[in-house]
Amino acid sequence: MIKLKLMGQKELSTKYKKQIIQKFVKAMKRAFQGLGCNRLWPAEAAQIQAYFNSFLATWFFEKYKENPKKFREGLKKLQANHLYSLLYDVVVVGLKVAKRFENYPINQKEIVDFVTFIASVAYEKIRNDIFCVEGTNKILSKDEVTNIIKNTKWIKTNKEISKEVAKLSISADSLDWSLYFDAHPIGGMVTHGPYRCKDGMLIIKDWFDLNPPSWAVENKHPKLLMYLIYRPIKDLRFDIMNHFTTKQNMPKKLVKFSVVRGKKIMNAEQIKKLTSYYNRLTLKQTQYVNSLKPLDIIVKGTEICYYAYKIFFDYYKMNWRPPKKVYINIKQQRLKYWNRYKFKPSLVAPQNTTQFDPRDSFIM
Amino acid sequence: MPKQKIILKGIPASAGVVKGKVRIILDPSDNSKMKKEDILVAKITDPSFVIAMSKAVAIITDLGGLTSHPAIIARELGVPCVVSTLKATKVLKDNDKIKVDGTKGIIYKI
Repeated sequence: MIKLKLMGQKELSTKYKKQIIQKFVKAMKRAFQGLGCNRLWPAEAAQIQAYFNSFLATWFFEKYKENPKKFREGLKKLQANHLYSLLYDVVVVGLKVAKRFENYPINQKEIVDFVTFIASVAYEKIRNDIFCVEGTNKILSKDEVTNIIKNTKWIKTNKEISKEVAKLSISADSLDWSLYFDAHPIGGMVTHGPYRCKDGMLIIKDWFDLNPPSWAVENKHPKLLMYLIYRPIKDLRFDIMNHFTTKQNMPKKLVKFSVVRGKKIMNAEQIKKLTSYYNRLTLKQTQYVNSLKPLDIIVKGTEICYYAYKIFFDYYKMNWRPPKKVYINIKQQRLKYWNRYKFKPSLVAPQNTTQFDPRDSFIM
Repeated sequence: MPKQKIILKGIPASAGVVKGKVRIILDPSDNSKMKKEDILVAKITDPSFVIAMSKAVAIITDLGGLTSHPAIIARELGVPCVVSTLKATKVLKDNDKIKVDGTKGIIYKI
C-alpha cells in the first residue's frame, strides 16, 4: 500500500502527484465497474453536467489561481466525499471540456496540479484511504468514534427491528435520490466507516439535508443519523462514490443501533412512522420530477449540483445558485446534450473512465 | 428432487437463496401489485420503487451493477438480488414460480 504523506506539505512532489492521480483513476474505474450497465434516474449525469461543468470547473480554478491559500481554506469547509465529487462531477471533465472546446487557457499539467491540490485537502480530512481505494471511508478520529460508542444510547436488535431499521434506511436513501437525483446523492447524505469497535464495526449513515431549497417539498424531518454496529464484515468495501458492497446479509449482522432524528433518539414505533412519512414524500417528489420537461430537469439537476458546494460558496460570500450565464447556456443549447448523452449501454462501459484521468485529454 | 431449470443469469448483487412468485413492475405506479413474498422484477429501479422493494423477498433487474439502486437496497434489506440479467422482464411472467440465487446470480424455474 502506498502511503501518502501530504499533511502540512506546501508543495506536493511529482511522485506524490503521480500516486494521487493513479489512485483517483483506479478509484473511478472501480466505481464505474460497480455501477455496471446502469440507467440513472431521471437522467444520466452527463445529460445535465454537460450544460454547466466547464463553467463551474473554471470558476473553481479561477478562485484557486486568485488566492490558493484562501481557496484551500474554502475547500476545508467541504466534507471529503464532496471534494471527491467536486473532482469527478466537475473539475476533471469540466476543465478538459473548457480546454478543448472553449479555448480556456489551461494545460494538462495545470489540470493535474489542480486535481492534486483538491485531493490534498481531502486527504487531510480522511484517515489514510484517499478515494476509498482500500475500501474504507473513515472521516472520524479514534477519539470521535470512542465518544460516539460511549455516549450513544444503543438499542439491541432482533430480527424484526433489524428489518425496520433497514426499511427506514432505504426510505431515507430513496428520498435522498428523489431530491438529488441518482447522479448527486451525496448532496444530502454520506455514509462512512467502518470503524472498529468492541462489538465489531461501526457504520454511520448521515442524511444531513433531506429538504434542499431546489424543491417545494416540505420535509419536517430533514436530518437523520443512523449509528449501526455490525459484527465484523470483512468484505465490506466503500467506493469513491460513497457506495458500499458486501456479500454478507447486513440486517443479520446488525448487533445494535441508534437512530437519531434531529436530536431525538427514535424507538421502533417512531422508526416505522418515519419510514411511511419518507415514502410518501419520495412518491410525491418522483411523480413531480417525472412530470417535468427535460429542460426543467436539466435546470433542477444543475441547481442540485451547485447546491452540493453551498458551504464553499458561503465561504466566498456568494449565492450558491448557478450564475445567469448557466441558465442562458441551458436555454441556448436546448436539448443538445440531453439527447447526446441519453442512456446507451456503450456509454457506460468501464473503459470510458479514461475521461476521468486528468493526464489524458480524452472526453466522451 | 425435481430438476431445476436455469432460466436466467446475471450479476450476483445480494447474497441468499429464496423461492417466490414473480411480480413484474415496469411502471412504479404499479407498486400496489406487489404482495408480500413476491419477487420484484424490473428493468431497473428508481426511488419510486421504494415500497415495492421493501415488500420484495428478492429483486431481479435487466440492468444495473453491484452499486446500482436495486443492489444497494437489496443488501440493506438482506434479500437476494440478481442484476444485469438483460432480459428478465421479457423472459419472466407474472406469477411464475422461481428460485433466485443471489449468491451465484442464477434464476431457476421451479
